[in-house]
Amino acid sequence: MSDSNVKNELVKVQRALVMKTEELDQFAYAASHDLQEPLRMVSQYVALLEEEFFPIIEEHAEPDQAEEAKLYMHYAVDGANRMRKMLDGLLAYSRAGRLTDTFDLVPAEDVVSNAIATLNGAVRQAGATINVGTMPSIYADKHMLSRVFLNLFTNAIKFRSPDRPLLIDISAEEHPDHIEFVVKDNGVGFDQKYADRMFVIFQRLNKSVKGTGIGLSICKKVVERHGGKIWAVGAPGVGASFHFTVKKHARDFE
Amino acid sequence: MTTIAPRPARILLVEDNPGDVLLAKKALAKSPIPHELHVATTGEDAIEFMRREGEHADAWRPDIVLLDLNLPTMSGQEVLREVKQDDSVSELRIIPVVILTSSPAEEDVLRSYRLHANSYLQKPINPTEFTRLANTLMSYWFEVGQTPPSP
Repeated sequence: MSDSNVKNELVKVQRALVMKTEELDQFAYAASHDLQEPLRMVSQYVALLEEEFFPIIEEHAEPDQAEEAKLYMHYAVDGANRMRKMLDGLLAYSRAGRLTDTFDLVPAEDVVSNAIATLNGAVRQAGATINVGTMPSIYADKHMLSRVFLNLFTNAIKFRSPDRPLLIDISAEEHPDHIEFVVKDNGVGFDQKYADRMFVIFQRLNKSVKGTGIGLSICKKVVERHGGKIWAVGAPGVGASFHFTVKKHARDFE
Repeated sequence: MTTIAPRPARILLVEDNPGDVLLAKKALAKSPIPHELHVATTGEDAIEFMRREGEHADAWRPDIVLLDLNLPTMSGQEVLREVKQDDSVSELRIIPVVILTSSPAEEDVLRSYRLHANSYLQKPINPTEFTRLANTLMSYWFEVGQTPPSP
């Protein structure tokens, strides 16, 4: 194949990939949107069943049977509630990092402080200290990327250690063609063995804290839309650091 | 002090899901305001009812319409457009249309108001909230507020 043929082929494949990605987003959006409706029926009617008929069960059944009936209804409602949150998460995931052309040269410091400002209350409540190192300018969609920092900070707060005040360090390192950001905390950490699993949608390593397992999968999606990579390094009881890269120049996308 | 309406409030509910119809009926039944409810399960049927066409020749004119967006053939949005464009003698467009949907999506809210919906409500996820919503709605339109007089 000649050079121009190879290039044509590449353009075709790239275009097909973009279409597939958009199709997937559409699918996730429709699924999360339309599945909410039947789910609402489940939670509504189990709740009605409990409200209207539990008194009858209570009156006629043995006390331990009534307790059991109550437990069944509780599990049904709880399951429906969890599924609703997951569907909300799926919707957020399908919308995060949608192809836009709002990429621009922005000071990374603005992106970081934007995320911190959003979290102000939670940061104060957790008594966290956030150190921001010297930040370069990057070629990014600042709203999308701010979401990445936001999710990483939220995780740091969620998984902070009960034994010491939370400390979050944000640093950036310049490489020839990309910038590597690191968000490091002194929280409960995680087992490095499962580091990659955290980025898979709905996967959760630590179930002692509430969540749906969406946050990091959104980070991954957004970082990849920026032509970068994301990974995590951690140790149980010591802390976690999340690394991600962003390409330095607009032309790197071509 | 509340004003007692000379006749019950007339509500047209456009909803295809029987589960939602029952929930709405139960919730409205708990409101202290007397009302009549007609349920149309398709958009087409709702329009016929409002125009008193076909089997609906004796239909009453609704004071408000509760409209679901997700309907089988003619969509809620199409019903809304049809009603809000009606400048015939019967002036269907002056009838307040309240969107009652499970969609919290911003684009659905925007599109509905662009088509001149009078209000946009999201269907609650539990019966207690549904009852509260029905009470608020009834009180707003029939106690605190006024609907257009029948022609």
